[in-house]
Amino acid sequence: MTMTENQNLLEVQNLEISFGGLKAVSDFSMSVKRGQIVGLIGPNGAGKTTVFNCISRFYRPNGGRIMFDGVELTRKGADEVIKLGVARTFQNVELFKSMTVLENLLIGEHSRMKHTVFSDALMLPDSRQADRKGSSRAMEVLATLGIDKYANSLVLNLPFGVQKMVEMARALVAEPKLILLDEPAAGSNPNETYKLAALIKRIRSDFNVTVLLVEHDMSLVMDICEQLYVLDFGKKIAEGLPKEIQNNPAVIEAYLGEKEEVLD
Amino acid sequence: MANFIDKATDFLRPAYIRWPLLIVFLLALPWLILIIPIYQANNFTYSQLNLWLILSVVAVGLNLLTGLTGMISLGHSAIYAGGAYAAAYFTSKVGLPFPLALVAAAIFAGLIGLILGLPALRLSGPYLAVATFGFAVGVPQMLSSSKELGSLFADPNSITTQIGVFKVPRQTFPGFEVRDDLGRYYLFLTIAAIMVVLAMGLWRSRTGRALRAIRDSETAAQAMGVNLGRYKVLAFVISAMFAGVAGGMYSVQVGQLEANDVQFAAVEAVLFLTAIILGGLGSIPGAIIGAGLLTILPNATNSLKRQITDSFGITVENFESIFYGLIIILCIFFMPNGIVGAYKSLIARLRNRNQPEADEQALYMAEQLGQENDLPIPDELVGEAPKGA
Amino acid sequence: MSGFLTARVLNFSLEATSAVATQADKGFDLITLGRNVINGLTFGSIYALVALGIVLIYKSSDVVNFGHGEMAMFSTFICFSVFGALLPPRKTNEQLPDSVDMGTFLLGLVATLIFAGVMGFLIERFLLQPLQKAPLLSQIMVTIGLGVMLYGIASLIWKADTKKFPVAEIVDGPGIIIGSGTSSLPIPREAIASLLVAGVLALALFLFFKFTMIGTAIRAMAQNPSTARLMGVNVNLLTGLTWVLAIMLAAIAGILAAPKVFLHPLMMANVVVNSFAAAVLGGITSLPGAVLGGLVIGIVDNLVGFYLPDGLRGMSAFVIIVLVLTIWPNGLFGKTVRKKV
Repeated sequence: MTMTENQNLLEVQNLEISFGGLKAVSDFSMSVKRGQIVGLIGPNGAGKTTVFNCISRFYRPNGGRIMFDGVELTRKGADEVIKLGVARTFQNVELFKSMTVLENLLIGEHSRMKHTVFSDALMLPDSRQADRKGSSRAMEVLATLGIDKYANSLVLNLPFGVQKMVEMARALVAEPKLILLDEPAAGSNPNETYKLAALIKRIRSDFNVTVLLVEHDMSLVMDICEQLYVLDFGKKIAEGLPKEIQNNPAVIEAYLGEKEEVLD
Repeated sequence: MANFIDKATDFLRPAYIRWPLLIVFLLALPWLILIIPIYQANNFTYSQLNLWLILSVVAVGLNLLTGLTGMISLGHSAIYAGGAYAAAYFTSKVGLPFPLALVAAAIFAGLIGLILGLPALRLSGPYLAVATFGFAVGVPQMLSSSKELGSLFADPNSITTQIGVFKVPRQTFPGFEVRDDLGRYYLFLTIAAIMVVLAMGLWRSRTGRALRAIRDSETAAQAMGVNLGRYKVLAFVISAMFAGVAGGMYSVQVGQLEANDVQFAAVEAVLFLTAIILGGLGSIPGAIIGAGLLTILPNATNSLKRQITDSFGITVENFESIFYGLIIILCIFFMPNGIVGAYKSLIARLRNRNQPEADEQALYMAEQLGQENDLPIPDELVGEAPKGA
Repeated sequence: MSGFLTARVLNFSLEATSAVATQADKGFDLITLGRNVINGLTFGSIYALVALGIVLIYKSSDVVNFGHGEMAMFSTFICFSVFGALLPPRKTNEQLPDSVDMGTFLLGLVATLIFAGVMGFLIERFLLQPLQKAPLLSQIMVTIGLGVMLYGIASLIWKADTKKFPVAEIVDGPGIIIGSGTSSLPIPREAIASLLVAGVLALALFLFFKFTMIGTAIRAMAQNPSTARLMGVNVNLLTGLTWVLAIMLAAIAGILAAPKVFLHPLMMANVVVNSFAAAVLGGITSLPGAVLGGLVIGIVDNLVGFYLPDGLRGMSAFVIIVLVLTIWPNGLFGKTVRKKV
């Protein structure tokens, strides 16, 4: 495969979405290059997760285009984007709670398995072989993230932190080109956030994946992101390198405004 | 105690011991059951076993829908009726041999399931239950009052042809004529075994996982590439096919179908649901155990019924319904994972009385430290944190 | 299993509701159509009352109450027993008269409403409230379990046979007749009464939700329970109250339906299926939708029963439910709800 360095993996153009007449995101554009770690930041309720939900097709945008690797995503269903190479995590962790960690990862590989319901019912060799392969692949991913000891635990019984790691593993096992991380650092202390930053960098190199993350916590994104987009009230107010964003008056105002609200 | 359980379960664990034991048990069941004092070696006893097998097939299929996928069907009584009528039609009117008629009945029932599952393409939640409920109440009425259906099933040999009444011919197989209930037991055992094996394949494979994923989180399942509509409809179709096969078995068991048969009434769908809730939602053995207990239930309540009749001078009807309702409510409050779930947690508790499971320990420690968000990133993976970070 | 029981499911209610169909010949003329529409509206108003209760419960506790019909049936049997106790003694197995005087009727009605209200409150308080955080499946299963239990208990107490149920005296008698001779269109008093009762109750409910504090609080709760709780709304109590209202409406529907479909533990099976269809047609979250849906279903059901081949009538509710759900999932007045991820 020839790596065309300048080609954009993800290209969002003039995205528009409104809920009941209320504009949640308007005229938002962004692009993510292959192999980059890109951050989408902004105060609470700025519309970051809404952009995520448009990319992963849980929401239907009212306007604009989302091009991923040469494919128009807005025409695809929420269950089709993973086949194209977009996997995601969720803000509040959406795991399959009654299953084991390994089973969760096997569902992550759902779209990679091709056998039919008939070979499942008849327990044909291709079905069993796919499961065996899938399991060993899942164990590899778990080992890479250092959580393979939990493989056979029920998700239900795991601490929240482990659940977040499992969710990341479940997204990675699908071998995506782009992984969307929704607030990975939410609720972490500074030390954990530091470790998380290192982990995300490792994920990029180990899994050869592009990372787009939504984050509220500035310290994490400043540390690892190569490009930042800042949303406020559904509008893009800034984009650029972390250093540029840090000194951008509009961004400071947006975040300060939020602080004042909190003080009130 | 824990030691004993370990030994017993270790002995039963290898497949080459467990499966042959189970097969011998099932083959000998018509004699083993005589241990229970209410059963004698007669046709009634064997017909009870047959009804258990029939109910097991429906319950396993329903468990795929309700237990695995989390969708309620109140229409399985009507699908079951559809399977029974289709099997009867294909054996006596078309003249297909019984196994083929059973396949045809399964396909017919699958088509019904497809129609019933159509709303699932668009909506989640209670809508499906509402639609299936309408089907369950409508079908028996249609069967008993439609003249067109009546003429389709009319028996040319009988003069007093009632609408919706239909005779099923006796089954002959090469070298083996199914004459009595004991013969039917082995026929049904074979069919039920095939269905259960198919179910086991679905249960632990990609298909079963996708269905369970839908039950646990539709959002995440979708993000992982599970097509919600397709799998929900698929679950409906497969589940309906099981009910169709069971209906075909029932048509042979009773020999004559009547539209007013209580087995086709909407209440029967509740019986199916009771069986899987009692046995254990999402569990194949659970469905079979639940089916067995509900087959015994009417016999067990008969004496109580007689007592009521004797002391109050009233005939008691629909008595089992009270127990179905009671079992459902009690299970949901006190035994949400049914008998199989209760058994599993009992074993786990006996075995781990002294050493809590590793996960539980981790959870406990996390609680003690007041860290609910303890990211388990090993240091060697990312390097040491800098001092003062 | 139950195949060995002698019990048979009777399709009495179907036969009873087709009474018009058997009288007239099947040619198309406006008078026959008019009769069918009036008959449809009579049943439609009953469906509307049941559907109102189903929608109320669904809005307040997100549960479709599959025991609704049986709760109505049980309440109607209570009314039957109160009538029996108030009327002069009869021979064993003698049916109740065709009509009862207004005093008896009102006493029976009040007693039934009290019973229905208490039953609704207790069911919500002790069976559904503890399951608030349980999966939807468990909550629905509990209502199904309650339904079959009430069915079994009613069969035990009152026997599973068909009984006559009286109407109130003022309803018993000739109604209004439009036109004369062969082309006359009679509007029976029962039809007027049913429509009037359903209309007044729906209006009262509308005013209650629009203009009273409790009504407003319930609406707020249905929109957003957690915010309502923060605003000081006693969510648990109000959910109980909506159940009380819903089961009372169901009881009234049962009393209106019983003279037509006869009293039987399965009397509400058909009614409740049509009411589900009405609720779905109305968009399952809309009270006006439920009323309008009920009337539409009543008319459609009657016309299908009259003009189409026998047997299809039983399926009309199911067909409507599936069609609405697949083609037009929000019904007449429903709203799309987007899940937050």
